[in-house]
Order: sequence, then structure tokens, then C-alpha cells
Amino acid sequence: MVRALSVVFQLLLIALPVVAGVLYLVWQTARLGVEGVGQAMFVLAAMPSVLLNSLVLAVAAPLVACYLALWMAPSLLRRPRIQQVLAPLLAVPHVAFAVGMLLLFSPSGWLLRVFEQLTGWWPLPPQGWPLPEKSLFSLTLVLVLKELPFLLLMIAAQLKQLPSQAWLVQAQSYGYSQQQAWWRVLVPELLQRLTLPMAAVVIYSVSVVDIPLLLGNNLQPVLAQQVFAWSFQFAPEQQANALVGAWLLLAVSGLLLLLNRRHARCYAFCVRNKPLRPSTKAQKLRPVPRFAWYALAGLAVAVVLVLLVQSLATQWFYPALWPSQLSVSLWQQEWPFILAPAQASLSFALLSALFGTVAAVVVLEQQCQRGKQQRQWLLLVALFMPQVPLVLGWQLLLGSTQGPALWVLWAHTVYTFPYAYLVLHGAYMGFNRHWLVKAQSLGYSARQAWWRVLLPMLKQPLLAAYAVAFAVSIAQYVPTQWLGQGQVSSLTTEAVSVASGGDWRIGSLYALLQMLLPLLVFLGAGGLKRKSYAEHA
Amino acid sequence: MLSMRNVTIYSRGADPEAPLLRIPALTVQAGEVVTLMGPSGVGKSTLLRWLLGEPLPNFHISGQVCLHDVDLTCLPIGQRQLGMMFQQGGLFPHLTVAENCMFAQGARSQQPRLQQQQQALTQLRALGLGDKWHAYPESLSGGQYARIALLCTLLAEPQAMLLDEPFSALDAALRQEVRSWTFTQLEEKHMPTLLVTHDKADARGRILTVNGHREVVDA
Repeated sequence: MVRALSVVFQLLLIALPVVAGVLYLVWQTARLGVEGVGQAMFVLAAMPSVLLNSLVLAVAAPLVACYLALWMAPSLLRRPRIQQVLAPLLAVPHVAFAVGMLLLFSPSGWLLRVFEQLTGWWPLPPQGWPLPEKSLFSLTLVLVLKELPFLLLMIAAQLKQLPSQAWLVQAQSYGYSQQQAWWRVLVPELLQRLTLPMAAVVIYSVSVVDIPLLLGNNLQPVLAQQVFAWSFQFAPEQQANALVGAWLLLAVSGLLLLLNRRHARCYAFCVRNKPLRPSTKAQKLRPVPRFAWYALAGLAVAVVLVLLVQSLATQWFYPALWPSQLSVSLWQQEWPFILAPAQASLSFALLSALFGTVAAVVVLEQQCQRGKQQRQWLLLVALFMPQVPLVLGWQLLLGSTQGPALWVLWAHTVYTFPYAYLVLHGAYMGFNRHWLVKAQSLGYSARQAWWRVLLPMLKQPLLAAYAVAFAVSIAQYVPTQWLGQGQVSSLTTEAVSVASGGDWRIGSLYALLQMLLPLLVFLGAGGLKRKSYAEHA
Repeated sequence: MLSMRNVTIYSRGADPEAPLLRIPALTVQAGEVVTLMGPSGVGKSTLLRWLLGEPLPNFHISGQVCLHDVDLTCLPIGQRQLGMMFQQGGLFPHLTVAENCMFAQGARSQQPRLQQQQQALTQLRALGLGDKWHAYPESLSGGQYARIALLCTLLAEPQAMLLDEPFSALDAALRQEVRSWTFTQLEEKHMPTLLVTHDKADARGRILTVNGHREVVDA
């Protein structure tokens, strides 16, 4: 039963999406013929900046986020509770985060207003501000800040598995400073273990569409954004461009994944060959990282606040710190239009998170019963394929079949499953099966024992997996937009289309709601009986 | 009466000519305690887990086990009516003492729920631990935990008991006390009991050891 279900889920959520997506891309491209492909390649070759932007983004954002996380991570060793800052940050969907960041950092943003109030340097919004509203730089910055909490969480998990403190102490007994011990002993091992999470981050950066639509330069788009735009233009040439662009995206992703696999070894090599400065004074790990944590938490609060204020503001001219008038008129006026996408978002998220979590449980249970681990990357393959070519394959395959909502739900589940699996994996595999035997020795059947002992004992990680899956579904943009065929609109698609059109007031309203739903689920999951029994296992 | 015949345990992948442990015949009478002694790694715990009915993919085990002349060999764990005390973890950490007791009774007891609850509470009070009814296991001391764990196991109405080094997690002072209390309980109930240990001090009743041919014999 478990075995059969597990096979069904793996076929439906891993094999079908990946194989069908890629095969259909191959077939469509073959239909173009050599001439069609050649023409499209010519078009692409004429715009090298598109590819260059993508490469810069996909290399810079993950690397900066990674080393920033490694720089902040020593705080996790000394104060493990600081990790709790990360969960709400992870719950903020990236579109809402991007809108909030823009309202904070743009030339007329909140932070500049605060600065102007304090110093009086800029009575007018500054020209040539390094964060103009739409640029590759602000795009990179937002991606870095959005990926930072995820990487920190991954590092926290690894630090618990390593004898970190013992290594640091031993290295210091050899005469290294605390700083040197961290960067020369722990970090190389951490980087090795971060290969998979980094791969997910790299792939996300190369294939993200919604944030570039909001923050990127429209005249010099990144590749994923360009492919997305072409696919909505129905002339055959544009469709050919989209197809060839999708292949290019796949190739770039493959190359970046290869580079990513070398990253840890490369770092280890550099560190070995870097001459060691004798530590004259007892260099402690500097306290700076702690302020970075406060800044990160403050940023999350500021994003929520600025979205809320902006959605309530009627008039808010530069350099006023606070809108001259607050009113709920915008909420009232938009409410009838928000209701439908909010309902759609909620039902997709509730259902696809449920399916994704159930599938993850079934697959994990089957792995436990078989007693050996499957190749993990195979289960998570959807995370290591750029979303744009994959979903383009599905969209071409499905054409204009009936029931787009059903396909959107399926597409969301393809992405909620691997995340639920990732979150659950440690707790489920670490569960002591001895408790099941114990329950059976009291007279319960194996199935009863599973329902009455394993499920309640793993309640906490199960809820966490559900909450993460929920947030993943809420944030889906490309699958909703493409497979929905314009008939399905969610808070995310609406937020992107409104905000990329430049209406920040309505945009922040949608972003706020988009953020509110997963936040509620996270709070609900955390509020239900705080105790975790995973450690008893 | 718990009896087994021709039980042979092989490690999977090891030499098929060299079994880990062999028991030609062994009977534990009602009210009797039999102790199987031996160093760790000899397959004692594996034997108990097999008797209990746990699937053991890393071993190949043949033989027959009967309880009151009913062949258990092909029954699932839940229908064997064997109680097991492990080294650790007798109480479910996510349930209170009350819920643990009720859970232990839930599968087999024919009595109405209210009567089950009364029975459990009475027995808990008899241990002098009536005030722990709503406590979670993590708040119990080592001695309290061991006693309530045995109480729960007995509430499930087993026909025989298997003890796998049940006292090894307790500290020395407590150990003596819990040990004698446990055996008193089991003897009162005339429970056939098979105990596995590597510590001579824990041994009780008839003592068996493992000889050079990996065969279980009287000491």
C-alpha cells in the first residue's frame, strides 16, 4: 500500500513533470527545424546583455548571500535561539518582500525620508541613487536578502550535526585565532555540506521571473524574464525565441550547477594556500554579526510596516515621514477585486501543501520501510531544474486543455512536495521506530501504531513542513500565470501585475495579503502545542 | 507457558554455517523467571525482538515459538500478547501518564472505558504515584518512570513478559530497589518471564548462558 502510493506520487510529482516537460521541449524544438533554431539563436546572439545579466545575477546573488550567511553564522553557535528570527523571514513571499524593499530603499523610499529628516541633505529625492527603482543592482540586493535566511537555516541545521565547538577549540589549541578557526576549519566543511542548498539557490536565481518583473530593468531584462515575455507573444518567431531561450537557460543552469559543485573544493584550496597572518592578539569572533542579525529582523518588521502604511496612505509626498492622511478607503475600494484571487491563492495553497506534505510522508515512510536511502537529488530534481523551461514544456504540452485550475494545483504540488520533503526528512528519518514496536506490543496493529504514535509524535515537524509548503505555493508565479491561461489569478500574479505596472499603493495591498496568509499559517503551526517530541526519538 | 524450539539466528550476509545464536529448546513456565546471560553482541536482544515479532531485515531467523500451546511464529506483534520492557523508553513521551495507561489498555481490554480508567488509577495509587496521573513522562524521576512503565506494560494484559536489560538505564542505588519490586510484581501475576542481561546482579531464577558453539545452555 505504502509502496504503491509512493510509486504513484513519485511518478506524478517527479517523473511526469520533469520527463514530460523536457521531452515536449525537445519535440517542439525539433519541429522548428534547423532554420528556425538558427534564426532564434541569431536573435539571442544579438542581445548578449540578456545572458550576461542572468549570469551576473545567478553568480553574484548566491555567492554574496552564501558568504554573508557564513559571516553571520557564528552567532548561531553562541546563541542558538537567534535562529527563531529566521522562520518569519522565510514566510515572507519574495514578491511581497520585493515590494516592501522598494518602498524602503528607492530614492523616495522610507529610509531616505528618515535620513532626510535627520540631516536635511536631500529636500528632493536624490538623483543617481545607487538603488534606482529598476536595476540589476536592486534585483541582486533583494535576491541576496531573500536567500540569506534560507542559507542561514541550512547552516544552522549543519552546525548541529557537526562537532563544531570541539573543532573550534581544537584549532585554537593549535594556535589559530577564533576567527581563523572558523574560516579555516569549519567553513570548508560547511560549504561542502551546503552544495545542495546552494544548488537550489543558484537555480532559483537564474530562473526567477517575478522579482525581475518588479525590480529588474525592463529594457535590459534577464534571460528568464525575456523567455517569459516571448512566450506570451504568439507570433511563431517569438515562440521559437522562447524555446531556444529555454534551452539556453537549461544550459546555463547546467554550467552553474557544475561550478557550484566545485565551489567547496575551490574554497578549501584558497584557504590552504592563503598565508596565515600570525594572530598577534587574541582575535575573537567579532561581535559585528550580531548587529547584522538585528538588522535582518528589523528589515522584516520594516517591510511589513511600510506595506501596511503604504496601503493605508491616501497622499504621501516626499519627504514626509508619515502620510498626511490614513484611510481604509483603498481597502474598501479594492476588496471586491481582491476576494477572488485571495480565495484562489488560499485554496491552491491549502490543497497543494496538503498533497505535498502527504506525498513527502508517504515517500519517507517507504524509504524507512525499505531501510535504505534513495538518491535524494532525484527526489528534489524539480528544485534543480530552472522553472521557466520546465513550466514552458508543461504549458506547450497542455495547450488549452480544460480545467486549468486543476493543472495549476498539480504544478504547485510539484513544488510543495520537495520542500515538504526537505523540512520533514531529518525528523522522519530520525524517528525511533522502537516506539512503533512498543505500541504494537500493546496489541495495536502496525497501521494503528503509525496513526496513533508516529503521527502525533511528529506533529511539530509535520506542521512545519505544511507551513513551508503553504508558503511555497502562495509564492508560485510562473506556474500559476502560464498554466492558468489567464483564467486563474492569485494574489501573487495580481501583485506582480499591479506593482510592475507602477501602482505601489494597490501593489502593497496585494503584497500585504500575500504575506499575511503564510504568516498566519506559520503562527498557527507554531502556536499549536510548542513542544517537540522529535528529540525523544 | 512460553516455549521455543530449534531457534537459530544468522546475521544476514554472514557465514551460513556459523549461526549467531542457537536455542535447541527452552520453556519458561508460568510464574518462572529465566535469565539469559551473555556478553553484548551475542544476539540476546535480537532473540527477544524476534520473539516479540519485530521484522528484522538484517537477520535470518528460523524456529518456532509457542505461548500456551498457540503457535506465535506467524502472528503479527499485536496479536502475540507478549509484553516487553526495553532498556529505555517504556512510556510514550507525547502522552501523559493517564493517556499512556489508557493507550496500553485500549487495544485489548474488553472493559468499558470508565472501568479501565478506574483500574489504572487504582493501580497507580497503589504505587503511591496517584498524583502523577496528569504528568508527562519527562517530569518523572527514574524510579517513578520505571514503575509506571511496567504498570502500563502489564495493563496491556500480556501472557508473558520479555525484559531486555530493563534496569541498565537506572543508577546503582535505584536499581536494586526497582529490580526487586519488578520481580515481585511479575511473580504475583504468575507471569512467565524471559530476562536478557549481561549483568550478573540482574539475573534471577534459572540462568542460561551461551557456550562456545553459540548454543544456549544451563549455567
